[in-house]
Amino acid sequence: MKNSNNIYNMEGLGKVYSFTLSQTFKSPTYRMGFIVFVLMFTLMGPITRLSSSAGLDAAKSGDGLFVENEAASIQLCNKTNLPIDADRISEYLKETAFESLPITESDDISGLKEDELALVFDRRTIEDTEYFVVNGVISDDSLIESSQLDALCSELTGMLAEARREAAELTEDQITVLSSGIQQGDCMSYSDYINQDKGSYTASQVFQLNMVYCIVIMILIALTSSYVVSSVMEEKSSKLVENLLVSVRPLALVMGKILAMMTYVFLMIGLGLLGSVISGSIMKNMEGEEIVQQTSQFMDFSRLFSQGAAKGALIVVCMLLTYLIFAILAGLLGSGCVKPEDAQSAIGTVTMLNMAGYLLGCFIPMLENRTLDIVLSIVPFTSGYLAPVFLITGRIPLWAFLCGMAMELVTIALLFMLCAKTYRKLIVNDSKRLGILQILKLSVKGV
Amino acid sequence: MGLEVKDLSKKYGEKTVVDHISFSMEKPGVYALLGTNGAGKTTTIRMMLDMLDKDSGEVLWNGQPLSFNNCNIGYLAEERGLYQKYSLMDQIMYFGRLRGVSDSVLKGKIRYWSERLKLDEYLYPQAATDARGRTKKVKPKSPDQLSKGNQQKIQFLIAMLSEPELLVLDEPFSGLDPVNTDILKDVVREQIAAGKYIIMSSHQMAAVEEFCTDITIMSRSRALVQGNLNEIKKNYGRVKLGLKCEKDAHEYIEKLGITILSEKENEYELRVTGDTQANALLWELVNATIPLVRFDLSELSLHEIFVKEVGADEEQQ
Repeated sequence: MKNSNNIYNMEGLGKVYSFTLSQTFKSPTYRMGFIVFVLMFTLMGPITRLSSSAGLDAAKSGDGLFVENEAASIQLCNKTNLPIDADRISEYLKETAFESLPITESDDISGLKEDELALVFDRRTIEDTEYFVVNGVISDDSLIESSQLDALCSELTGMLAEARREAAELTEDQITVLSSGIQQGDCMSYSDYINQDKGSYTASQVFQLNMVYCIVIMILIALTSSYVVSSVMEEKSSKLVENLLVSVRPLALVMGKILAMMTYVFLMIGLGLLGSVISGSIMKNMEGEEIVQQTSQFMDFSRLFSQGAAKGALIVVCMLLTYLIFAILAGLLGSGCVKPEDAQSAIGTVTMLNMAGYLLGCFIPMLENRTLDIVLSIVPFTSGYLAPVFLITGRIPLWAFLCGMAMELVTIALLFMLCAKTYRKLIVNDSKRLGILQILKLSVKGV
Repeated sequence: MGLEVKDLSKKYGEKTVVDHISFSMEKPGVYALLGTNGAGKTTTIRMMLDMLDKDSGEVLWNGQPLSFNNCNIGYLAEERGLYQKYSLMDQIMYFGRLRGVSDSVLKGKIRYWSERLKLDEYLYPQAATDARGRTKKVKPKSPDQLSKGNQQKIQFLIAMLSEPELLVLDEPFSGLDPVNTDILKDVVREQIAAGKYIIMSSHQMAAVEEFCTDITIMSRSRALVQGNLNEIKKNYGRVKLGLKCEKDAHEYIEKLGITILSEKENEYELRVTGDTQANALLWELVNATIPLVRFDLSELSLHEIFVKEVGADEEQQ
């Protein structure tokens, strides 16, 4: 047959795609996974916000955690030279349910009873850095819940900061000058210099944003590798490969699966992100922008798409390219498997790359090294984890991002060619598992 | 024109698995590829259908390289299997669509072939009566509940969906019970009558002998015997004599130096040198007034030719 002369023929792609997609959604396991994933993405933001803001809200309102507290008295132990005394604390706790508790000052808190709590203000040093701390201490058999105490201490840190400023006898302006951070700037063109103030991000903000983005990418790749390898292995283990090969082109067979899985995964992530955006908006309306800003937004995926439509589109394009790289790789490695247990090795290879990309995505933003940012945003297997957020936050110029995308496209094209050259041989291989090196050899030597 | 296989060869490393195989089918009918396990039959088929790269050779259909585009191919692979998690109907529809059959035509064809191959109960909901006498619809079985033979019939159904002009059947009768073997044989006969080209690979000689007009016997990767089955049989001559008498015929058989292959109560399977020796025995028996029940001079069966040739080849090795 002459189709070996046209290894890029994709006849039958649409039929493989629609069959794979429909069977994926008919599978109870995949359906359940889809629903759980969308719900998880939708609810993760509100849950983290609620859990982190609960104590703060309660402290401010005097409701919630403090209402049912079991404390009968408070002991104050001030080991600092700051002006902190019982009166000052009473004043600070006026709005809370701890208001009526008697406060006694004491240097020894060793005899705490089960209904007593101690507030210990201390000054410590770690590696030449001094800091103030407020600890809530309870007895070993205390009736007071530690979460109640955490919320109380969190509230009192504000008082500690106020006492510290007072002790330093600084004016508000002096405080502002001293507490402002210092950053080393980059060499840049005048236009870049002018534009940088329009929306600059701190390293911490970039880290947070990229962390959220990397979680999405990591989940995307993890799901992809497992689904694509399973799908290819299912075909091999069903012993239907030969029947398929007289009906459809090998490349269409694997690409149909990859595209069907892409639809499934992106639909799942897309709906999850949409849910995240909607739940985020609801939270803002219910609690107000300020509260939402104050509390942890670590798992709030809506932040990725709150940077405007164009940047959101860039993220989606980058996700698609990254997906394709890993999906084709997973398809190749999956087709090199012979026994179902080989699938673990194939998934493991992709997972290792995925974890490496994720870890780089988490730590590189903190280094603030412009050269490293640009290089890793161009390298194909890392750019997917870094480039979009770096572009959005101004850490890399547009040309570096475009170079990264171009490199990803080239990588996809190379993997596509490798797939076209070897897939037919790989899926009829039933002798031994072939890893990526053997697959490369197969594409070159044909044996 | 028809099908022409020219000089197919395949090596894995230093090991030759198919060694310059050529054959052709100029008119519709059944061509049999026969051989022991590992002789290279399936590899030849896989190369013909381009699942494996050929080291040399080509396969032509009506003078053009065989391809999806110029030939409607139906294939029953040696390895039986189905997607275990998907419904049978879904996967049959999928294969039908891949072969370019429209959904409306496909439904009719599935209905026809499921009845023809007695597979309806596995594809369509069946009415069943429960313990209280109520009639209700029972869902068709899932693939993992099917026997191997029924899975094989489903694969055969899939191969027939596009009304192929070239049908490649790799070990079509292995694993089938006698009832299902007969069903499949009937279908093959119909296809022959309908003018289809059929390539059949098997080591079940009796079943193949019923249909095939031309054969290649493969041994150790190469073609050992090849050509029209009648011609091959003729070349071996009519040397098989079945004899049944009412009295002991040993004396006359031994007198003429005829080889006894087997015997049981005056019933003999004999190997003669040809018509002359057989006629001489008949003359002796008639003269001795020994009543004959059966005197059957015939050619060697395909099975016997196969065993003789392959056995000799393996002895040479």
